Amino acid sequence: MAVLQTKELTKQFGELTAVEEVDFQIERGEIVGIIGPNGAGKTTFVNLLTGVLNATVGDIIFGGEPLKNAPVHDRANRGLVRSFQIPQVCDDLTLLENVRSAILSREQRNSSLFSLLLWEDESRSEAIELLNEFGLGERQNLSAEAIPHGDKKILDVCMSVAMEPELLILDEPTSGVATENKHEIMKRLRNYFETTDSAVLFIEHDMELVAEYADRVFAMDQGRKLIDGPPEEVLEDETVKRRIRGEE
Amino acid sequence: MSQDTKTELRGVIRQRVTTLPGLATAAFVMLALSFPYLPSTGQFEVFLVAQIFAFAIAAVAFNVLLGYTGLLSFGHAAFFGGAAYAVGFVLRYTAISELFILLPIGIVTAAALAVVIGYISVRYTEVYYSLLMLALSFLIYVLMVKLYTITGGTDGLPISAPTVGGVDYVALWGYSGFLQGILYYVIAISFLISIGLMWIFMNSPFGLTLKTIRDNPERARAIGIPVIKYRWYATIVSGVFTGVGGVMYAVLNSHITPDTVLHWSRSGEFAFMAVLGGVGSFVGPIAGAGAFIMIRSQAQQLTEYWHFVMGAALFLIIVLEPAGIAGIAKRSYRKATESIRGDD
Repeated sequence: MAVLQTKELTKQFGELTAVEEVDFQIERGEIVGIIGPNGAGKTTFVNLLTGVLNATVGDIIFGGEPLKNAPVHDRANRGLVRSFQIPQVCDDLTLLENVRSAILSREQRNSSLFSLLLWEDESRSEAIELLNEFGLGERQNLSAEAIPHGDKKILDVCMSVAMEPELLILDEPTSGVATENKHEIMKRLRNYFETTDSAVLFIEHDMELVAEYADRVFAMDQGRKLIDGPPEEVLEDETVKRRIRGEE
Repeated sequence: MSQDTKTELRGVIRQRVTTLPGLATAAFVMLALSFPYLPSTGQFEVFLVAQIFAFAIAAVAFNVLLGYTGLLSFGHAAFFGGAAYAVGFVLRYTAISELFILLPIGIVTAAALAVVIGYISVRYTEVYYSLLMLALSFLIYVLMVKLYTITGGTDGLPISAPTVGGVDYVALWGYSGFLQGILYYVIAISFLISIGLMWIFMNSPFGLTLKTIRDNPERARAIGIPVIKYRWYATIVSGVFTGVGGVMYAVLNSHITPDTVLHWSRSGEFAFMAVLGGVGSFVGPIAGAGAFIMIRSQAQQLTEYWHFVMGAALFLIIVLEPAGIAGIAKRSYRKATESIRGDD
């Protein structure tokens, strides 16, 4: 069953049509990579999915229900969670607090006034476990501003994963990360999601990563769907080669 | 709860209490409760400390918004003064004079104001939030000044000494006995309960939610936190406790006017206390309120230009130690422990 499906999704900014009649769907357990040249509408498309922007025309069906104009936090609570290209973490909080905050939010416990975090072990151990899984466990008590950019990126992903998403959308999960660490992030993600039936959608410029980690590739150009299929087919497509991979 | 978990919990509590902050808190509570009976404590000192407690409740409540949620309110006088005026109106227009009825009425009034004013203001952030809070609280100030047939206008309202638990202690013990034996304790205990509750709230998931919003609203939304709603809740929690401070101030001062409880400069004073004490620390604003009242009381005795002294104090703290009194305390504590370790 499709976790998420869009029908003729369109977004116009005045005269400019950033996303035009895009039909897209993603199944449970699938890992899909979105590729496209700069300005192809990838980020706008993702922003429509996560609720940062509202579509001009078309609708998004998530978990069998239309999302309409549901706000970002509402979509996140329903299991449609995103990570950010520029890592968005809470700088003054420790890594542990960052992840714990996401866990408590997932459990809908934000308004709990009388349960001292000092004495509550469940969310703490879960957060520690998750940080360990992503290789940040040893630094759990550092504040987020004290860790390097690449690790913030991992923390950002870690917070999204803590939401136990049905669909996780990653906006360039490896941008700004040293080349040798790119595979590490992707491998940790793949390992994590192998144990769940969650779907993952990621925007990526590195075709090598796309080829290795995506089950399917969705190529966009000028706001439209260019081609959608298995990586070996899409990446060898002539238009993709010319428009996206920059080959003559 | 089994015997084991009970012993375990007791162990945890013992561990927590015997840390330095735990011991300091215990010492503070004992000092606060025995203060009126210490040698050389007179009526003036009791009044001054009670006033510090009343303002400290409001300053900590103010910091729930500034330090924990990242919202600077210039409208907290509305909650402080709103609660105080509710008490004033009840005393003026009804036969009720029981503190344990007046206090809940003040709290409910502050809560109602915070619900309405907060609902409108949290749709905006930063300077827009601050100014909207300022505008809405100024509206209440103007209403109290202009509707003078009902409100007493700029003359304000007298606050007669209330009965406590049905007993009129002023008739029994005289005002001085009432202040030192009853009113001081009412205010000190309200202070301890309010601070205790706010500490628990800020160290529970609610507090972590607010800090997440303060640090990064976009991230907060992405992990499913309805940001506007929680800014509103924070404003209400803050408003309610500011109202407790307002009721205590009114009862202690026996008189309120729009200028003493509702003027925007009162909101500015809460900000002053929070910054002076340190917005990054939970207890900072308590020290800030203490320092503010002490400096002002000394400066007023010294010079009529006491505002200048206050301004200079704030200037120095912002330039030299932006983390406030709490920052100074933390640094000296670290230095002290380092030098002790260095001796080993």
